[in-house]
Amino acid sequence: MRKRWTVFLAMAMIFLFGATSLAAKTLTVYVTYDAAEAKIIISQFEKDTGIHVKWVRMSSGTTLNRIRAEKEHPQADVWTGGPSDSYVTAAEYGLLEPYVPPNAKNIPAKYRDPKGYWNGIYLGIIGFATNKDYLAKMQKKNKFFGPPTSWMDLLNPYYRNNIQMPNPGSSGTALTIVSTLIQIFGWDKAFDYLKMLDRQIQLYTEHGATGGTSAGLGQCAIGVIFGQDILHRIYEKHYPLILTFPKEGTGYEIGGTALIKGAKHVKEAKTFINWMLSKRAQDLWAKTGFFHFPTAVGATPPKGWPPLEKIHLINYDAKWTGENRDKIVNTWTKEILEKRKK
Amino acid sequence: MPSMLYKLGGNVVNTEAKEKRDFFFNLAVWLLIGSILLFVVYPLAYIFIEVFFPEGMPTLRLFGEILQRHYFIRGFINSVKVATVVASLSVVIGYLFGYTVTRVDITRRKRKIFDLLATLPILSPPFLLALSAVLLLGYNGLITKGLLGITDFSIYGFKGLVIVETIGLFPIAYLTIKGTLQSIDPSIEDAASSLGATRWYVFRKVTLPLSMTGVANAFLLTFSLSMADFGNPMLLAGSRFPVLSVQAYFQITAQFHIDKGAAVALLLLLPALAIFFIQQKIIHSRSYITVTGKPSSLHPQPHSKLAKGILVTLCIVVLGIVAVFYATVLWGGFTDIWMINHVFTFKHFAYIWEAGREYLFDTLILAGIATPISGIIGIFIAFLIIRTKLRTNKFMEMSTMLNFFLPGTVVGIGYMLAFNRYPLLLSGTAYIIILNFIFRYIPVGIRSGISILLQIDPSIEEAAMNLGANRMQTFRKITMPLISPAFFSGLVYTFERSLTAISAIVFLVSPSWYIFTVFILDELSIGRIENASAAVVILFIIITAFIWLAKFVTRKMGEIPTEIST
Repeated sequence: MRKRWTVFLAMAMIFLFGATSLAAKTLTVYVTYDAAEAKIIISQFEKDTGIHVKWVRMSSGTTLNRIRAEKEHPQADVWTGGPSDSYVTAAEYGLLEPYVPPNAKNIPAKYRDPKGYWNGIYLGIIGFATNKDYLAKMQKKNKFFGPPTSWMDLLNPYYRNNIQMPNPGSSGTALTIVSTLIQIFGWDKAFDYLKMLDRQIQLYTEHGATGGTSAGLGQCAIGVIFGQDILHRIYEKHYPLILTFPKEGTGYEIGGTALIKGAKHVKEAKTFINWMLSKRAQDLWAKTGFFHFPTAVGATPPKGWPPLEKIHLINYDAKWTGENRDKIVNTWTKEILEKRKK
Repeated sequence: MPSMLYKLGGNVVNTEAKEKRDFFFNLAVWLLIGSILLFVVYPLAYIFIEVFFPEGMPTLRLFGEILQRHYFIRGFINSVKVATVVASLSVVIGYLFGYTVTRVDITRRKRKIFDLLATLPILSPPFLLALSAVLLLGYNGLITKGLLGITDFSIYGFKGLVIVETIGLFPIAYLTIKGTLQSIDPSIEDAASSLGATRWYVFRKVTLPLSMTGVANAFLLTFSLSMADFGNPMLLAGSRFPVLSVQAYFQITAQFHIDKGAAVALLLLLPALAIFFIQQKIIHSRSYITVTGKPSSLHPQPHSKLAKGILVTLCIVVLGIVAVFYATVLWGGFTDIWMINHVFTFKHFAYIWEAGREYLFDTLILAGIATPISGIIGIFIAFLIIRTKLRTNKFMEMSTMLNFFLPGTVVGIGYMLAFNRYPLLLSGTAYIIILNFIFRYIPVGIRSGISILLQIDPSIEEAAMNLGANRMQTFRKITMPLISPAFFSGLVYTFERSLTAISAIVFLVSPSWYIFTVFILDELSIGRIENASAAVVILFIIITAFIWLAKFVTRKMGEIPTEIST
């Protein structure tokens, strides 16, 4: 028995002190878009370049915290996907290494950081997901009734207590929505609008895209979420939804990609970033089933998107959003959420 | 008994050898304390530094900011409210099942089915119950809208959380209470009965008081689990009904304030600690020694038809509700598109096999390594706490418990902060996940171990010691076989928790070691309910197989004391 305990102790020793992290010989990537999507894109990258990639999918908040905690000993080389305002914050914390790849010429300047801290690889545009069955029901009462095409349409009494949107305290999508409204209407008017909208809101969801599922399942009439999430629900899930955009203008997230400061495989990381900005890589957005809109000029957009000229896109300021995240979230929580009765 | 004396008697003369072997016992204790310091206290220290020393100077600024916010105060009240109601309901339902299974003269088959189904809710990631609740009782729920035609019923908030958490947590109360009821010496109840006491009187005056340790432990466990629960409120509480665990998580993951998130989570500790101390007082204030030999496992006694009818009906009603919740999930896994196209399909399972296979294997390997280590450490600490007077006992109990009470998010962040630097650079390795599993779920083994040990007369162990056995031998040959039921309930639970853990692990996964539940959460957050359901069905099968195996082994182990005495 003594022998057995000695073996156990020896094992414990090895377990406790033998823990050395092996430096990986391959590129390590933190991915913030969908895992199924990442599989398609990364395997294509591996095929194209022969570089082996280890990757893991995490939400943007988790990734940012992770990179922040790993600041002294970075575990990953590249961060890809997730809204650029998170990248703005990451750059503020000194977690990113600027890099302007040759293929940046494919990308319009407004979808890139001027200093090269991050580069845009896709767009996610805020839209309305409206349940078709609900529309049909309402059209029986009022034949002129159609899906909402403006922010003001959301205040229609037919939608009272029937709209879901995410909570900016927990969702990057919601931050984009609120920031969009502020950038269109100005700070005070935007919050006046949000207070009126509050009456229409059934639930502020924690995840960005939950409202789309709820609308698809008929739990509510409208979900205010990203357009690509709506298209995913229409074409992949066959939910009875219609995608529309507000005519006053709508905001968008720019999905970023960036080189992590202190990366161990800088060369491979730069190859990856450059490759992500190529037309070839961005043509894949149409094939993954997640409907991200490509940033590269000439890349094929996925089905279901209207031509970009048909959508009134504002000049969305992601940098301002990232820098004012606290102020936006705190004001919204204080003025809207904490005063909410239901 | 005579042969036992003979076997252990061989060591009596050699006290020197005994002392030498006690050296290993002491070494084990010190190694344990070292590990606890390193993997419980050290990461937490980083959290405290983050909250109270954000710029190197001690400050209460963060705590003050949190307390000023109406929203967090509401979160605090909500968390305590939900935990209290959930723990009370869980204990009542757990006792109902524990008593019916161990005491009522129902058929063997019924007993088996009750036992099996009452542990069912333990078997799946908690957020799936919430999903099921939304699909059944949501605005467009199968029951609410489909069957009853109600559209203004809201499952979100207090009601939904209480329903879902009670379903998810009563099995833990049941397992704890059952373990205690099984180890009460039946001759006491028999004596009361033969002296003319009615069943009801025996229950009130004998069974219930003797099982109060189990009740107290069950309440403690379910209360703290409800407080720290994160998966269910994530879907059901939301912004309408803020609870602290979720608010802490979002402070960190959505608003990027690690410091504030940690401060919010520390708020969770206060009520949990208060409950913990109350329980300590209850457990230690009375003597519950009733076992003088091998505990009997079952002791059914005749009950009146009415009592039996009521108990069985109540059990069936509860199990019916559980069954509906789980059937919904199963149905979801085999349905093409939920609420849109209810065609039977295997395609979600094919998808999980294709996309999630690697994650599943990783998870099984990590949980498989962590489970036995955690189980052994847990029972060993329980033994130390109850049977020795080491000065470090209190520290061990408190510190391991602390890790259990804290929301996983905080523990995860603590690990992330503490083990990403020398001397212990564990970030990105399997070790960080395994260690998190081990040290997070030790209290389960400790609690159930204590609950049983309190009822085993120490004189059995003392006899072994007097006859020359050292402490390690005593623990292995005497204590361990007696407490094996508790040991395995701890083991099964640890494995289950490891397979379904999410809130801490989400910060610790790495490209080399990914976890199945994080994959399920990804599926859920994009709204692929059917895939998530399929994944949970797979997890369900694995855990069921493990429980079956554990029961088989327990039965084998339960035979050991018989072998010694013959």
